[in-house]
Amino acid sequence: MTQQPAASTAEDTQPDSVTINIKSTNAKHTLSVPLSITTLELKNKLSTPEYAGVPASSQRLIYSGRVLKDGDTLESYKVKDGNTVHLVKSAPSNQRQNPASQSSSTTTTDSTTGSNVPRPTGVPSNIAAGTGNNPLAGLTGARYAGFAQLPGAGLFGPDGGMGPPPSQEQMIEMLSNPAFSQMMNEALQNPAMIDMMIQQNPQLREMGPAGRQFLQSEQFRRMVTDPQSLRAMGQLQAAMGMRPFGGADGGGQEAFPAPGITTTTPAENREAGGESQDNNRDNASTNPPATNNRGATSNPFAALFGMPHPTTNQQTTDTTRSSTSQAQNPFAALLGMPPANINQQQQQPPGQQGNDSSNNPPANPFLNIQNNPLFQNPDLMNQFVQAMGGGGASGLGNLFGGNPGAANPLANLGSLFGGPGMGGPATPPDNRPPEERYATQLRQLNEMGFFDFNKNIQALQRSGGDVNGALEFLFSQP
Amino acid sequence: MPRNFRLLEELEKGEKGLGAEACSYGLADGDDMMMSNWNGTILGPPHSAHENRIYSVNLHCGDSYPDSPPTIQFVSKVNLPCVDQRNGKVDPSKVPCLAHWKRDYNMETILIELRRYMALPQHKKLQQPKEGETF
Repeated sequence: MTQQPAASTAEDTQPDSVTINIKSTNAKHTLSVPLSITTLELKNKLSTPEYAGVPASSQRLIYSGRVLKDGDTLESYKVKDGNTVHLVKSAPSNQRQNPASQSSSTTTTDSTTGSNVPRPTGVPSNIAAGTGNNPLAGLTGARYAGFAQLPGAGLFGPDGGMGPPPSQEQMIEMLSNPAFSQMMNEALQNPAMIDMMIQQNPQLREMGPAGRQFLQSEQFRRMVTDPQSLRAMGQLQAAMGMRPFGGADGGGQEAFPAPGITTTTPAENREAGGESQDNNRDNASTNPPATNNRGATSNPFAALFGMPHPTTNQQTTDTTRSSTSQAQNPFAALLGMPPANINQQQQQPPGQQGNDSSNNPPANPFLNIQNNPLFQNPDLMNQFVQAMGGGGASGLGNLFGGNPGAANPLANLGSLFGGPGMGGPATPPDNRPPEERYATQLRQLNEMGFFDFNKNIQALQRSGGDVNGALEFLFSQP
Repeated sequence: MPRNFRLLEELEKGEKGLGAEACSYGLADGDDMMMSNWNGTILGPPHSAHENRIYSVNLHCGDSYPDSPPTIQFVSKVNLPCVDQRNGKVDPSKVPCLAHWKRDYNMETILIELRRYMALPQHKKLQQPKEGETF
């Protein structure tokens, strides 16, 4: 560790307490602390299972390019409200640590060399913090998201969480829990999370910057975290005779592959199912961001893409006026393409839809509903619905979920998130060789120091392309 | 983008921890209006001799930043071909991102690249001085 000159001691008048984020490789915590707290006191706080669960002596805190020294106060480092302190877990001493001295959950064996090495710091070392003793813990899809402190697999039920996604009511209930929404929000604000979502989904990757922008946008977050918008959505769907959330009454089971079928199923879909169930059974505030985020996003989207209908739209406006201002915007946003464009898209043979994304500028996906002629003009609306194949639920679903080849970014999102509920066809089996299919993931693994090509491929195949899952596998291998 | 706006942006990114987790950076002196001197840390890449170490560097952004790269000096002792073993200075000609500096590179780019440099097969096994020693 390095000696850094302490920050100048001239202090401004600052509030006594700050809210800081503690970011470690696999989790993020937010806590309020007095500025007078010393680094050591902060570490002690963080050592509780509620936060990092790592002894203070194994923690190193870094802020703004400085390693925080135990005796110094946060004030002396000029930590400000909303800033982020990085937490690095390490061996308690400066010596090269001996794996035998570590707890069994953090000791690992390097699969590539066969020699005993400590788990690298770049890899979640407390991934099993909550359920370290549960042998099934590693099997749940939620854990692959890389967030720790999940409930054990036992909570997900005998099927390990592979059941149908939660019903709309359950979703709303969950989202009404402020802790839940907050965590979801945080997860979506976490660039790493977004990266991972994009990384793991070929459709999102194809969207390029637009996809990222979309996922990061405030509207998107509001859409998937606001219970009101969700409720309004459900009403719209109910009015159209659609099952809310598609899979709530058993459709999920049809839509989900058996747990064993993995390699050709998009990772996102499988995980969405598992995690929805996770939310469903355990919607207490202990859910980590990743789970909530993933599980919830899968469903609202399925619903979102199936909803435009003039009469139902009207209905919501009448009955739930308070919610419409929030609820409509995201929907309008999703459909924020000019009507002509929609018709055009529908009339084109599927193969030619590739150029639609250029007509539909992703830079402005969130048109305000009030400005959207589609929703103001019933004729246009009718046209729209007819263009989509009669306005039936299936027609709508197919437009947005069923065109795997469509380049429209929103349609892509639909098939991305909507696995269980959309009723669209499954993604065609990917027949490329694994090294090609998982090129990105392989590179990531390489960057993390896993150089054994065959092992990496094997791990990726087992995890269906999920890097975190692959890591778990690699670590579990002697 | 003029130098100071750029640096302010980087400052915010560093303080809020928006960038890569393996690196951290911030102003050495928060009162320095010119924002010239920065601290950075690099988390040693896994599966190398650097694993579990935290390296501190000083970055100095001259007046021409970001048109020219900052100068970098390791504070923590480290054995790397690009680091002058007498004073910890990084030889820009030996680090690709400094040798071929582009305006849109930033300090985070450098820290990440240095970390990658440490993890290169020819560097990751280099004998390293005891952790905690400084230049």
